[in-house]
Amino acid sequence: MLFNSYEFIFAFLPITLLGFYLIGAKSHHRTAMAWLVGASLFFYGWWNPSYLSVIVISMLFNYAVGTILSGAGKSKLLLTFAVAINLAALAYYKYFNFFIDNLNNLADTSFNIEKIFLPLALSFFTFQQIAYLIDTYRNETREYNFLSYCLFVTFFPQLIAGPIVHHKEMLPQFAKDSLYKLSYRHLIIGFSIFALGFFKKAVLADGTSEYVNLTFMLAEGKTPLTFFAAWAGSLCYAFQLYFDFSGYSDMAIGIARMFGIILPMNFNSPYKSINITVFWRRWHMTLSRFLRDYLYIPLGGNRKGKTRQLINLMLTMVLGGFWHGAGWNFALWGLLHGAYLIIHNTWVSLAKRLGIKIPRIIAWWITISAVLFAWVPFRATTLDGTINLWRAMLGMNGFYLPKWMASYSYGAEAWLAEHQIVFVGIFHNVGSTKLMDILWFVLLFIVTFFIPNTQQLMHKYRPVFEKKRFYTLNKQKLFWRPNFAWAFFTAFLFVYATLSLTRMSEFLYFQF
Amino acid sequence: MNNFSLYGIRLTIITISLFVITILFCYTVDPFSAYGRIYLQNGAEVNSPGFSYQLRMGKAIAIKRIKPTALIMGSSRSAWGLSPEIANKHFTNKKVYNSAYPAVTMYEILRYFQHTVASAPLKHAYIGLDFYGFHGGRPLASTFREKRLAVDINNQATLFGVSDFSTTLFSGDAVYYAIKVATGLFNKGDLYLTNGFKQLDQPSGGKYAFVSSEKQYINGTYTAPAFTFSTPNKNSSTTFDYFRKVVQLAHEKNIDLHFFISPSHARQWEVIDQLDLWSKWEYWKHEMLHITEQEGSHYKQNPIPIHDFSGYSSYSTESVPRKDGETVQWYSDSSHYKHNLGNILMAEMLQGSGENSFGRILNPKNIKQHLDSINHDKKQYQLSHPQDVLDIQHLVEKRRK
Repeated sequence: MLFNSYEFIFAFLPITLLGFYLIGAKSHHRTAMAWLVGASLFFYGWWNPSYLSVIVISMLFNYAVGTILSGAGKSKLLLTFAVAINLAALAYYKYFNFFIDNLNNLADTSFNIEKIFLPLALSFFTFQQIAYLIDTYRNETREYNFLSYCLFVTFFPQLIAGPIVHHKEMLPQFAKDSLYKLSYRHLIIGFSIFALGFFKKAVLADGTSEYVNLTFMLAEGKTPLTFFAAWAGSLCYAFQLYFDFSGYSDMAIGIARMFGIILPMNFNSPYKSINITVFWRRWHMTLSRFLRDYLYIPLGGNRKGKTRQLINLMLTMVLGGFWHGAGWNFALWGLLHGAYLIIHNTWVSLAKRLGIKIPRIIAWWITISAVLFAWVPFRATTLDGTINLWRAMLGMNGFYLPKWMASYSYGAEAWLAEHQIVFVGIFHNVGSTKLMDILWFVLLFIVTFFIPNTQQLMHKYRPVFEKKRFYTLNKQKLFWRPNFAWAFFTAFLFVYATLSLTRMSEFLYFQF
Repeated sequence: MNNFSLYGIRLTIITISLFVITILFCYTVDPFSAYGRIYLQNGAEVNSPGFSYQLRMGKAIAIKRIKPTALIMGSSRSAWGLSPEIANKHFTNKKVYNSAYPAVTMYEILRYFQHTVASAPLKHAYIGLDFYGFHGGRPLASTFREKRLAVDINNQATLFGVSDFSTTLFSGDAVYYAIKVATGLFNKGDLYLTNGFKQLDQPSGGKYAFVSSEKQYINGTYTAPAFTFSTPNKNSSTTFDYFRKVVQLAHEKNIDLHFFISPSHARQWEVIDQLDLWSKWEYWKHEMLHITEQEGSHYKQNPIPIHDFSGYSSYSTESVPRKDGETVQWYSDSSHYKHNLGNILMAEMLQGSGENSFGRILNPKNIKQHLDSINHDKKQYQLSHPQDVLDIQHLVEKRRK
């Protein structure tokens, strides 16, 4: 069931909320929790009931191992075995087809296996449980009952695509008695966050998909794109992915809040970052946190010298790339970001030594360009497509400029044409440019770069788990408060997004 | 009352009001004529101007309401090429409905045929057949919805209408088209009459119309993905299975069904030839005939007739304009015939002998000779129209590069 579907918004969510609070009001807290687990499993099974067995087995196995690890049976061998089993399941479902295909290509063999379908959210709940096991081994968890554990893994707002939650954040919240009492405050704050996310996904992200699809389809076909059209395509994809995934995260955070649960922050205006390290502190923050705590630091982090630190960075990013999917394009994306981080890391030391400081606007421009360049393999389905688009972005296919600019060429048109600069309209071989498209692009640009993000708008009401403020508090006049203007605006966003549902589309991050 | 309670009340009231206003506005304007709203245009009763943007929905709903006794189906060739005059001339005592859809696939034809049989006392049906509709790799139209049809593929009743409540009253599209209809910002050339026929004829094809249509067939319709009769559907190995189901349903329900192969322009056949699909094209006709014969003998009824209007005639070999401003008489492009040819086709099918030079009823005895004769005509055409052949060759080569 998608968050952006009629059945979820008008049936599943209201019924689940009603059941939870009705049961909770009678002080049957464990029953209310069981209701929520049942609802979450129903939500998960809606896509494909056969995958329910995967998540249930995974939960049973990890809880059993966790119980042993927290008691007398604590052993590193058991932990290693359990983590290996989790990773093996992930490897089988997610990477086995990919491995066989590559083996066949490399060794010229012809192993033929049926396509293995990836159970939804496997990458997400596997990571959450690996973290739980490791922390149990480190004595960083408390004793929790099985029901709480099941809810921690299956809690439907964050089950499918995060935010990737940590047991320390979730399990203590489930134990609070106040959770089971209906709170208008939580309900209203939650709904308002949900409405913002819903609008981001259903209107802003889905409304941008057309140009993105067209650009990448052309890049993967035989139509050579030119400089500006290619950058516009990559930028539109950046917008689409950001509004899609951050919209999804807001919806998850909002829904959880309606149940009184506060989830961790997942996005903090990443495209406003002025360097790539900051970008990774602001993009898919719960994944970055997981990779840092359970991969980068165990690999040695920055404690084993500069060279080792840079290698660790690269390894973390390449593996992070692979986490997104079984494809070399994701590895390439990770590789690029690894390289960016190494360059930035080296640059910081050098700049400090030389006393150089880059103006913020230039630092931002370099960062966003690098990010856009790297999104290409993330979205393109073939290496040819990536290369074609990169060639265009590097100006190797020439430049199309607006027709009106021809009158300012002062007779140099022929000479410019020889150097592949022609005045035929920026999107000449892509399609006609309509005024609405330009206005849409401007709207996305303003929302991304100039409007406070959801957490900033809602900051007075603790929208996310982190108490530490990751963001600035500019433009406070725009901040959310329970007044008439916001009631009207929230209702408008919700109704507008609902009207867009007939063009329902899945969240991009579900594929990972 | 604290701030949050007041906010909650306001939010609820505003949200519900916005929904109600939207629904009432869309219902009143009825941009897709889903609730029977009729407009007058040049003295004729037409569907709302938004109808043409949701043809597959609008016609499915209309069939349920009108309950036609005679049905015309097919692709855009039948949707645009068969004029409303046909309804007055040949179907005076029958309720005829034109249920043809652009870019239709054989699967959709089957599903709409099943839908009509389940929704109306259907007695007669005339289904236009197009080679590309049997391409099993072609995706279904984005506006096609299984759930809106009265029965499923196994002819079991479905909950009709549920999926279209949101599309017609509660969607961005409904609001957008309702505003366009209410403010008159519409292209009136695309209006459809209440019996599903398009009100106006397509403009006559000029210099660019032909090439532009052929490009589409060469670069997409026939080639991307590569032409195949096989389907990805587990229950049907080829698109002929859908065709067979139509034939079987007609026999079971005693419906007087006629198939007709559309009379596109000779350049369309040249496209098929140059894409090396000629043998598949001939096999297609053979196989359809085989199925109609087989099912006819199975049901102990006359085989369903297939009228073949494809091939080379004085109409289809009409010269294509080479200068700006010149137009042709019978076609709007090499795929679509105009009303005048559609009228001749219909008269031939309903009143003709089936043995004229234009249109022939296929049977096991004449099929070989008929296909040989088309093949022979093709060679003649290629000799007598070298420029047309070169035009198509050029487009095909461009595609291959």
